[in-house]
Amino acid sequence: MQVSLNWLNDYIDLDGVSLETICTTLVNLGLEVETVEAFEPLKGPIVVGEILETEVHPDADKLKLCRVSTGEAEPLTIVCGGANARAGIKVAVAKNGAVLPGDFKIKSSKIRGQKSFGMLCGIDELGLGEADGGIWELDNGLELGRSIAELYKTNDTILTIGLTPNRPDCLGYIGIARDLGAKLGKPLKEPSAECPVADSHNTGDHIRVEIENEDDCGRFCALRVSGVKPVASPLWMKQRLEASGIRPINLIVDATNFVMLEYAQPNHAYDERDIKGGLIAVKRSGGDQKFATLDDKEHQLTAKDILIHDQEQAIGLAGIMGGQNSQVKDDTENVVIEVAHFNASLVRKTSKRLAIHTDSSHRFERGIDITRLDFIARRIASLIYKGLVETGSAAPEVASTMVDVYPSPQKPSRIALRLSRVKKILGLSLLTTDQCINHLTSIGFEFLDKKEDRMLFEVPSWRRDIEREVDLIEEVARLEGYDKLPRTLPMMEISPTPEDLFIDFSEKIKVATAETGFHEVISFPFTNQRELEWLNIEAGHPCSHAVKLANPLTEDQNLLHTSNVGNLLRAVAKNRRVGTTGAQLFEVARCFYRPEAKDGELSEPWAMLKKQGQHIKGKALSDVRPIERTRLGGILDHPCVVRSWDQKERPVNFFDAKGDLEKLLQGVGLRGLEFKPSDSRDFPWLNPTASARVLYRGHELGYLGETHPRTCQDFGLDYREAPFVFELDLEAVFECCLMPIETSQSISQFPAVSRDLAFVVDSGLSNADFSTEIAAFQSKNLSAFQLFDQYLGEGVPDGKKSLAYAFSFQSPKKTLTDKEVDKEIERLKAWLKKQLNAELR
Amino acid sequence: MTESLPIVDRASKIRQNFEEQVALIKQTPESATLEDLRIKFLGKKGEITRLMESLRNAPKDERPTAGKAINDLRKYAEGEIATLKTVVERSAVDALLKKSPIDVSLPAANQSKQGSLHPVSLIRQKLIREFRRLGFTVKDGPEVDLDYYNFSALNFRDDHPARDMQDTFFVDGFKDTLLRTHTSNTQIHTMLGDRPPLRVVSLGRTYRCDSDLTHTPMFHQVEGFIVDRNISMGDIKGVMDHFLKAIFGSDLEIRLRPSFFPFVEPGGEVDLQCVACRGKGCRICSDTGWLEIGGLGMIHPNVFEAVDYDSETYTGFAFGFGIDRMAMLKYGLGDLRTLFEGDRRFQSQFHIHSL
Repeated sequence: MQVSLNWLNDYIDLDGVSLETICTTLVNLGLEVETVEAFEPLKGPIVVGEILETEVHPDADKLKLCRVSTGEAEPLTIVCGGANARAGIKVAVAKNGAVLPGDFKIKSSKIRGQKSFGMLCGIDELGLGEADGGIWELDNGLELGRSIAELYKTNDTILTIGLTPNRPDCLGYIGIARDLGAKLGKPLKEPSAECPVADSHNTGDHIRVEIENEDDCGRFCALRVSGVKPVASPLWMKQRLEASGIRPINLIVDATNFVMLEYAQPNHAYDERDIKGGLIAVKRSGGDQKFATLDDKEHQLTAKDILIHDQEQAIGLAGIMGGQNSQVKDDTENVVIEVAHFNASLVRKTSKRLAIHTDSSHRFERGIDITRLDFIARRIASLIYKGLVETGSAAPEVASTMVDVYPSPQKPSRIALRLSRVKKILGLSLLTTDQCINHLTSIGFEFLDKKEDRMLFEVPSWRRDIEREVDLIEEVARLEGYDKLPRTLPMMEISPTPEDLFIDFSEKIKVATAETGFHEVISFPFTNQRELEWLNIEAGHPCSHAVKLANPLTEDQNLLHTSNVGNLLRAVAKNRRVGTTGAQLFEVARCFYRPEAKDGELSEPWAMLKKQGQHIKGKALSDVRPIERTRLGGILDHPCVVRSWDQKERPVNFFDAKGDLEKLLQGVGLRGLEFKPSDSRDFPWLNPTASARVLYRGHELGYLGETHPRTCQDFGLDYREAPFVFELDLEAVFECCLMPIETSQSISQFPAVSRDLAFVVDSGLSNADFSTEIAAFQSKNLSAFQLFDQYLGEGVPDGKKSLAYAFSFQSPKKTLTDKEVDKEIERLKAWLKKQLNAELR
Repeated sequence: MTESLPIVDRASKIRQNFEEQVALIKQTPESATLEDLRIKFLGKKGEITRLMESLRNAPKDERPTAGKAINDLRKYAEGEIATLKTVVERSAVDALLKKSPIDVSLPAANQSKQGSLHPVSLIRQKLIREFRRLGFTVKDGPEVDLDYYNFSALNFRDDHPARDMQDTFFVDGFKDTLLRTHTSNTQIHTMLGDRPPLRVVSLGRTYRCDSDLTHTPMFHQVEGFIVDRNISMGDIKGVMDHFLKAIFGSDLEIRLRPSFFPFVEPGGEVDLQCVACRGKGCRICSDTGWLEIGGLGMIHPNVFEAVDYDSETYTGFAFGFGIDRMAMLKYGLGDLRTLFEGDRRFQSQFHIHSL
């Protein structure tokens, strides 16, 4: 709401109140002042002057050289073309440095060879009236040198007030003045709706009003004014409208807008000729119907739109905008003023659906004061009357009676307020009933009764947001001032709410990942079908069941992501574009799946989607809602090792990524991960020759692998430099972290003996296969083993490879002798020969 | 042959020989030559060892004198070698210290392996820590939620313009489902599951369909609420004061002013003295000296009634702030969008733990 302080001053006396006080007070009332702007249509020295003498310009018959005094010692010479310029009249003088409306700067100049030090202004040039062909002749009694801006109060201060939707009453000057006045201790000066009426002039003789459904339209007032003329409005009215951001049009339209801004009550003035058959009917649209609003746009209506009809057709979209032909015209003589109440919810629906947001719909949606519609109609009529008289036109005839259809008058609501409750909620222990009563009556509540600490109030009709005791408490707090609230800390029992371990776990794994060398990124979880295709995700894959947005910001953000990979690949592409290589990034984010994902057959690596994310609890578990799982995604770009003085650059490989993944999971306590070759259908965005499922004690945690070369290309990455990606389902990881760790009962005090052995095996045999057999070897003393070399090539037959392991033997009871170890080794060799046909190399 | 000489003579000959070699080693002390010396004289097949062995074959009467001579010789040799060993080691250490010093300004090894947490996560860590100190429990809620939890149970009425305060993303194919517009949905989820007293804080991602210089479609909020029998509005002021000072510095003041959010009444907003100019007025605070931090208020009785709490018995407060803005203020960041661009150069300015 754009508020002119000049106008606001009409309703409360703000003389002597500083701008700062006004702004602070409004903010403390909850009426947030967003901007403060000076409104100065006339800037610089524009003052009252007197023409002392004139002579004809030597080189131009129509121009005069005027000697003008503005009260200073030396008169000014000003060249002037006004026919009425003559000695003895008082005029408005714009001196050097003045700026007129339209950013017209005044400076001394030569006009046809004669120097001129300023300008004598016409009333239109000052924006203070209509052009009359000459210079403006001022009242002769005015003092020389007085500022025109001051005389005609053209300077103003404009506040933009950000209103919350609960205060529709403050969408008008009266509402703001009432609150401000209450806090400043200034009485509200309500304007008058009085004006002479024509006794025999009854609106009902000309107009009938029919309301189809009182839920749609709770009240309709129509008031006829005849003999009007759409003249230009008086200066004060135009100034006020302009300062409030509304363009003056003519007196009739201006008066309706003026009162809307006063009382936050939308209204309309019809040219009587546009109400065919003298009938105004408020009814629903017939459904499949089109309607053209006065902004020349045609709209498709539904049966939920309320229309104003005359005998023949629709003439207005109720509460939103009038029809094309219901405007006041140049030759309008008789007008009918409509002031009505329309259903807020229906107005809102229509306005949203048709995307027409007007000053009127804005106010109706938020709720208006139904009880004062008759007064509003009279107020508009009185302004039309006043405006016509002031501008020298004939006075109109205002009907003495109006048509007021008000089937169920609204009863005022009454609410009790307990002082004890006020004190409890606000923590203001010294507050008294008198203070409460004073605060509430200052903003229009009526105090009815008091019994002990219980006070009874009647809610003013314009405060439809006040519904229960706590609303009254807020009013008391507002007027008392939030700055008066004490600063305390709550006294409470120790809260029994159990901590959510998963939240701590998520924080910890982020730290562990960062400590492993990854930088955290945060991105928007949006994707699109094309990007799913880039990831080679086909219909039926769990990640194809993406949740779709009904109103995405852009079409390429219309799905919620089902994996973090897309965002990470895009981030790497972006980093590469700016020359940042070797980026190691990670993100922890929820991924979302339509429930179909869990209804279908899920392969083991995706079986976790059967379960809803663990932040969804209680009642929410039985809702039909998407599945949310928290996932950690990581990406490793090349190179792994940056070229440095002590090492050569090299590309990142699977085992770098594997090492990082192991390290970060060790950071949350998981040791001994299993990496199994993955089915290319499970993670189709991975290169099938370098990808693995990640498991812990048989539980699926996620995957790790090189990005599929085609996926790389689609994301704008060179396929020869495919980054490595991994993803962990954090809830699965969390469940594993809760498992007890296996601890050894006795840690040997005796030295370990180490032996290195190399075996030749089939080249298809994996380290995991070999390790499984070693682990299955029955030995009391074999305490650890580790692969230290893998070799294929010269010296090893085709189809075979050599695996070399370091074995550690250690007894909990004694120091082992070489002989004992040798015996174990022989048994081990025999075992591996038997199980895997492994030959000692 | 020396073999035929008496053992005593042989011993003195060996000694003479030994002394010569010791003198040589003293000139250039090296551990390898010293070890050679030890082996040559005292090793398994060393000269002194062999001499000792030859004692068996010596005439009986010669044995005591010869034995003593050998023992003396052995002790002498052992002592000399031990002395030499210290000399050799000292000279080796001296040699180590004489090397030319390294260039300590060379870059560290493995330097690219230091990661970081996002500034929003750093603030999140700090918020969690501060609220836990005040006894709050951290909770989480769904990001895709039903209208009921996000709006209607929070006293947002159908078709009320209050809903326009939060531009909502709606989800296709699910009934009344949306991306949560605030973390306040956690209030409802928590209150439906637990009974008072409650002291809960919830941090997470929230969504609004808005994108410009100061808005992103996804942003982070922190939500806190307390429900008990005697919670007053003064308590919000105390809690806000405590935690904003903990994050931004104890020299900054806060102020509360009335505002409107459907799920609180009385409702308000909290302003903090500007973090950049400490309240003096600057570009960041538009010369007001104050920054809008977030909304708060006493939980509306309609909310309590929606979750079946007795609104007469229980009172409570709730607050909600944007974390992204806090991160920007805390770390002096100018452009909101840099937070979500995933640029490694931006991100590597940050660390892993917040203080």
